[in-house]
Amino acid sequence: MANKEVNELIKRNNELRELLTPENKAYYEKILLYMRTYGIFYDDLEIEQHLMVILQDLLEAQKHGESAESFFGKNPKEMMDEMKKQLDRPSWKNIFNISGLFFIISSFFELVGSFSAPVFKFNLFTILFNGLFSIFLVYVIFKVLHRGIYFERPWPKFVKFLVIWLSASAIFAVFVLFHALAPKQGEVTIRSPYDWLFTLVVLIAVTIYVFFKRKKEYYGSFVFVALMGLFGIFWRLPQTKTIVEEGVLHQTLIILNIVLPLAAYILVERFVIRKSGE
Amino acid sequence: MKETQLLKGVLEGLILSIIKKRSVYGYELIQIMRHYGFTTIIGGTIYPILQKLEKQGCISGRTLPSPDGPDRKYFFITEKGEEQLASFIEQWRSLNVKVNRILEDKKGSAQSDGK
Repeated sequence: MANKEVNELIKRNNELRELLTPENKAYYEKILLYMRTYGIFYDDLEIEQHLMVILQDLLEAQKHGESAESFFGKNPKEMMDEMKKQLDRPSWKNIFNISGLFFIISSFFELVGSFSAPVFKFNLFTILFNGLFSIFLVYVIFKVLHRGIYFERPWPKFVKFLVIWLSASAIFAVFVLFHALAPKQGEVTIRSPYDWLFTLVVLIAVTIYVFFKRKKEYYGSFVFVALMGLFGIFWRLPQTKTIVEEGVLHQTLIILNIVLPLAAYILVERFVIRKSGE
Repeated sequence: MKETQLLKGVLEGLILSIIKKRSVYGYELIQIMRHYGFTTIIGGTIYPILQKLEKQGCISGRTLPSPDGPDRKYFFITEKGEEQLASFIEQWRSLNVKVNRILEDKKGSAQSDGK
C-alpha cells in the first residue's frame, strides 16, 4: 500500500519536474538527490511527500516569476539538514526489510554466477560475506553521494577518475578475496542431475516472478539470469553437453557464455532507459 | 543580529496563527508572511517549521486538487495546535510587556533594591 503510494509520488514528481525551467530544475534536482540519499533506511513515503510539497510550491513560485534560489534561499542544504533531524527514526522493520533485500539480491547473483561453472557449487560463507558486504557497500555509497551533492571538490578530473577507479578495484578485490579465502567447510556441491534441475527450477521461478511483476527495472537482470541459466542447463544436460565436448566450438561457446549475458543485459537496459525517456 | 535568528522561536506561533485563520499551502503561507512585512522569509526557513508542527500534531496536511496547476498540500490547525497557539500568545504578550518596559525606560530609573 505504502509502496504503491511512493511509486505514484515518484511518477508524479518525474512528470511535474519537467515543467521547471532549466535553472530551477538543476536546483531542485540537487534537493531531490540530497533528500533521497538521507540514508537507506528512512521511510521513503515521508521523504517523497516532502519532496512533492517542495516541488509544488516551487512550481507556483516559478509561475509568479520567482526563482528557486530566491524562494528557498541560497542554502537549501541547511534547510534539509534541519528536516532530516525531524524525520521518523528508521524502524527496525524497515532496516530488516531493506538489509534483507540487499542480502537476497547479492546471494541470488552469487548463485547465478555458479550456473555455468564446471561444477555447480557455492560456498555458504561467501554468500554470507557477500550479503553483509553488499549492505555495507550500499550504505557507504549512499553516504558518499549524499555528502558529495553540496560539496564541490576542487580536484582535477583525472584525480576524480583515479579515486573512483581505485575504489571500484578495491571493492572488486574484496569480493574476489571472499571467494578465494572462504573456508572450504561452507562448500555445497550440487551434483548431476540435480544441478541442471535446480537451474531449471530457479529459471522458471524467476520467469514467473518477472512476468507477474512486469517491472521495467527487472528486464535487464532477467535477460542476464535467463541466459546464464540456459547456458548452465546446456553445459549440464546429458543430451546437450556431449555435443560440444572439445574443439573450437567449445571455446566459442565458453566465450559466448561470458559475453552474451552481459551484452544482453546492457542492451536491454539501454533500450528500457531510452523507452522510458520518451 | 539577523532577523531570522531572532525570529525562529516566534515563527512557529505566527504560522499557527495564520493557519488558524484559514488553511494554507506552503507557497501561500510564505506570501502571507512577506505581505505582513517579513520580506526576508524563504522556503528554507518555513519548511522545517511546517514539518515540525505537523510532527507534533499541531497542524495536519491534506493534499487537495488546485484549479490552476498541480495538487497542493493544505495545512489545517488541530486542537493541539490551537492550545499551542493560545499558550504562545500568552507568553508573547508577557514577554512583550517586559521587553518594552526595559526598552522604553529611558532614565534607567528602575533600580534593583539590593540590600
